[in-house]
Amino acid sequence: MDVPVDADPADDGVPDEGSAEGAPEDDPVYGAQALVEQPIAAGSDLDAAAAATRVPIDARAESLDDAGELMREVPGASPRSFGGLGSFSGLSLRGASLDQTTVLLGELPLGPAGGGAFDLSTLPLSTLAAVEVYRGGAPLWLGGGGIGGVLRLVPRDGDGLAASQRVDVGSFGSAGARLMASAGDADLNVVSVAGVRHTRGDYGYLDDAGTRLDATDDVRRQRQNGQVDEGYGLMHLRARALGGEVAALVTAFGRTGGLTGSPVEEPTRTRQARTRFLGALSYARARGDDEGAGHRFAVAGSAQLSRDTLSDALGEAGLGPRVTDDASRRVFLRAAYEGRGETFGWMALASGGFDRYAPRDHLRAEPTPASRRASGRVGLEGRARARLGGARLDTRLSGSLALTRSTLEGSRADLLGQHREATDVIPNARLSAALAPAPSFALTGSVATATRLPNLVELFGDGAFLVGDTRLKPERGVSADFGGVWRGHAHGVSGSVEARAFGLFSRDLIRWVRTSRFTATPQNVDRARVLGAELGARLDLGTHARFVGALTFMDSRDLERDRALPLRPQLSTHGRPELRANLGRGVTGSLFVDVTYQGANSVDPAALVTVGSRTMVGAGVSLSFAHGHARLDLLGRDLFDAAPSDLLGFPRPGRRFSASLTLMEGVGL
Amino acid sequence: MTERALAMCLLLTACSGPGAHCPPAELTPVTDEPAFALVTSDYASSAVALLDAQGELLSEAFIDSGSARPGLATALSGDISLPTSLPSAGHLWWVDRIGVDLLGEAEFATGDVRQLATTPTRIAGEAAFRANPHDVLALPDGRWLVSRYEPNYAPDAQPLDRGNDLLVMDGATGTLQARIGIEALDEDVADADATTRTYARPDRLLLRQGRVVVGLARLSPDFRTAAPGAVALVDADTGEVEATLLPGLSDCGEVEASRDDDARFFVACVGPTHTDLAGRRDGAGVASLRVPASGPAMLEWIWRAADHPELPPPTHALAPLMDDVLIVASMGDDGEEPDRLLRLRLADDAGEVVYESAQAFTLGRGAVSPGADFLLMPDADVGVLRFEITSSALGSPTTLAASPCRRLPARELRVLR
Repeated sequence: MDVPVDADPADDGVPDEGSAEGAPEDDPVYGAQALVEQPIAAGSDLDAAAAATRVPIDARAESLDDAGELMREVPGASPRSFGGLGSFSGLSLRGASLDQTTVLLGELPLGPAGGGAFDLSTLPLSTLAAVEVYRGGAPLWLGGGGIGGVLRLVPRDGDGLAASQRVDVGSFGSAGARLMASAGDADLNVVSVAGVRHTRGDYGYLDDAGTRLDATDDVRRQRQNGQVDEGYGLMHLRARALGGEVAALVTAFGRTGGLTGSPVEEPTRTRQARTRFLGALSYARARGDDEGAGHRFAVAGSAQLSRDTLSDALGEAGLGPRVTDDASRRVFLRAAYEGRGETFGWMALASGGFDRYAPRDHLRAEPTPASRRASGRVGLEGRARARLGGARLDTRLSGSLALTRSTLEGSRADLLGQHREATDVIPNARLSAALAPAPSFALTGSVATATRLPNLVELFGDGAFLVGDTRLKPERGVSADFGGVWRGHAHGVSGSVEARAFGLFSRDLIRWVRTSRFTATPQNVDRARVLGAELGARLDLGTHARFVGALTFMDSRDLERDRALPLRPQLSTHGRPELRANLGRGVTGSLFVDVTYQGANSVDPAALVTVGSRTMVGAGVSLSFAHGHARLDLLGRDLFDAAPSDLLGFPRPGRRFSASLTLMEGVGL
Repeated sequence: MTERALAMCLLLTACSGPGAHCPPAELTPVTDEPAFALVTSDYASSAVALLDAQGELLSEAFIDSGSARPGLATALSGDISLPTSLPSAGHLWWVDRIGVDLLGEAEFATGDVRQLATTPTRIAGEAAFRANPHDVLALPDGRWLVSRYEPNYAPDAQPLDRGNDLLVMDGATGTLQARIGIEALDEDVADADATTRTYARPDRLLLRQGRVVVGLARLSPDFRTAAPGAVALVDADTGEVEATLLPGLSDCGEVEASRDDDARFFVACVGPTHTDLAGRRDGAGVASLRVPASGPAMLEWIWRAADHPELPPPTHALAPLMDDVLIVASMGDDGEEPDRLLRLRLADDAGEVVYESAQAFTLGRGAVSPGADFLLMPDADVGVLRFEITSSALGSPTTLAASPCRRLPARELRVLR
């Protein structure tokens, strides 16, 4: 029996158990993102065996600087930031490097054209409904994933007729405002979000003048060049049409401000700006029946334009003056089909993309040539489901083949007429299985291979100090995990708990090797492995208490140097107990405390320099009043001013506070 | 389940830790007098190893990047260098270069250490300046000269913060006293498309006949354009600068004293940086010059790589064996050509390759032992190469593992006494 399925992207990610019951036959599908699975406990609707965690963006989360801060709630995830609001922020998954995390907006790639780590600080959380983190291999539906995994950002979605306004103020001159409005019904709905943010970014730090062996010259200073202004917007439209759903998504982001850099010689006059525009169009159609059979089809395309400028005419931030204006374009197309029977199913994916990266330094007479990358990928997944006694087994085997061609057309005097290219054929595979002996519990396991292509700077250089190498091989990784997921209700406790052991083995890792006083070149020289365990919980204890926690243990090894990988603490934990109460007269309140602990770790590849363990404590209060039409969030972070740096030489803001007031109007409030 | 997970954690924790478990480099007083200092570095972190008079390892790290808790920087950055001439006996000196911009001094007998800034304290709002000190030279009167490689592009920079100069410091207090500008040797270089400013960029320093010899890189801000090669003689009292051009050579920052002649020195020129070995030939070479009582240095002998296509171009790591025999390294390129060590004979312009490394960018500055009986050359791939010297010829090298625990590549070696 065919049934319509409406998987709400804004829900908590729990598969809608039995939601297909009683639906009218042959009804057109609306809002389908995934077929509803039989009730195997899982972190992802897309693949019950995936090591996935979904974090919804609520009002508290909206108060955070970026998605990186939110990632502390996810086991196996390690966010890293270069400083305060507006500084680069990235995500390491299971000890992989930042650029081994694939970032998707929905199912569309978001990373910089030509590769490289995505800067999470450029995605205000107000534009998102949720983030999903897939550690290790990801479902083929998402394209397979990076060596570390996939961070999937789910854009905010329409919620009927509603509007809200939010204003924020915080430490270090931070302020922001955003407006959101949504309208529509089951046939057509649209949501728009627009906001601005500002910070002076003048947080304090201990200036040791770089003389670590002499404490007499240490002095406390404030950052001088951390001011940032941002504007952003999102419009997401979904309409029932052509027997499925048509969606259009437009996002825009702009930032201008100072470059903080290392405060040993902190720039004061260097400015940077970034703009990014992304437009996407998609069509999806799905049908399913209550026996789990059905099919779905999705096609999508996106275009992304971005521009990054840096004005450092005095050479404050690097080796010599630079006034750069780097433009990039990315076009991406994707089509996927999944057919599913009661026992067997299959999925096919085809995608293609074109990236163009055109760096420019206005201080150089010679133009820097633009580089391009064209890529195509096809993938196939087979799926088998079975019952073993009372248990359900869901297995998937997928393989994909990607072909990429990167080219550099020499236009600079010393490259004139040169045509440099690199071609890669990249096979990848993934095997996963979920065994559910009970509806609320599943054992999961997967083995996957993944690849990171050399980015265009690694292949062709930056026209200045980085000398590329077209002979680079892709970084390759094999990940495996095994564990269990509990998701359900028991003894007044509801939610999910996940625990897994994992391993990640990487080779041909690209390392920049300095080759002279002024140049560095990338080489495939490293091998590494990470073994670990991760434990995550998102639990509601009755109606008045909630606990969110994550624990990650990692033993990382640089197999070339036989020592721990830098920036990978063995133990990281995060816990956030929260109490909620109805205070009467239409007022509800909640109170939470969060504690984040990171163990000691080295910061250099030789593991000579170690930073000690650090603990950050935060707390917050939320009051919802006027019967849900207004909400006040007060948030304190790093209350004891531990101010741990994620990266050496880039201090982060320590203790800071913020207050947010949100006014909401809408049907259902 | 949780107990099992914790048990696994404990097991794995016991197996390995974040550090390399090397003996800490805590500036422990040295009882055996070291004869050589060796920088080992992967350009992210560094250590200074000490060798005895026979070239044997005394300590693989008297000091390293982990010698103090990290803050904004580490105890040693990944980009340190040793002075060309030892400022004072019984001490280790190092130059912590761009982005840190410090001089370091540690006393072997006590482990006492000083770190001295090579830029003045910044005024609020002032533009950042990365001086990139390259060398320090002690003058007989107690002053030090520090070559600051980078010019300050801010027009309103403090006088002592201008860079592209020799900074005069009080050796006792570390106070910045004055600067000797080398701007007179900046030059606009024109080609068909544009005119590019090159800066003198003082590099290595020597004291010869009471005058300061300064190797000059003369490169543009992006290091792609070079003015004709030159060295300068500087009067540290009057600030007078006199240049000698080295025709056909470029980027001539490395200078090295003659072993036998107090008035003589050698210079190595890298040639164009952003190119391969073949492209480097047009500008690479070495020269011998003499310091007169007055006036500019006199060019005695010049070896241009362009004139010797039969040999790889000599570029760096000068080590005079005796007055008419030089050892010099030839930089390879991106994996196609390895580094090589050349032996050049001034008397008849003869040259030969005496060693070939496994890959490019591995050979660094080495040193001949005080008794001229062996040569030590750092090779990042294998450690320190030891060549016995017999009648100005080099024997086959033996290898010393210079960083057995830290596994940092050997980069630069200097004589301490």
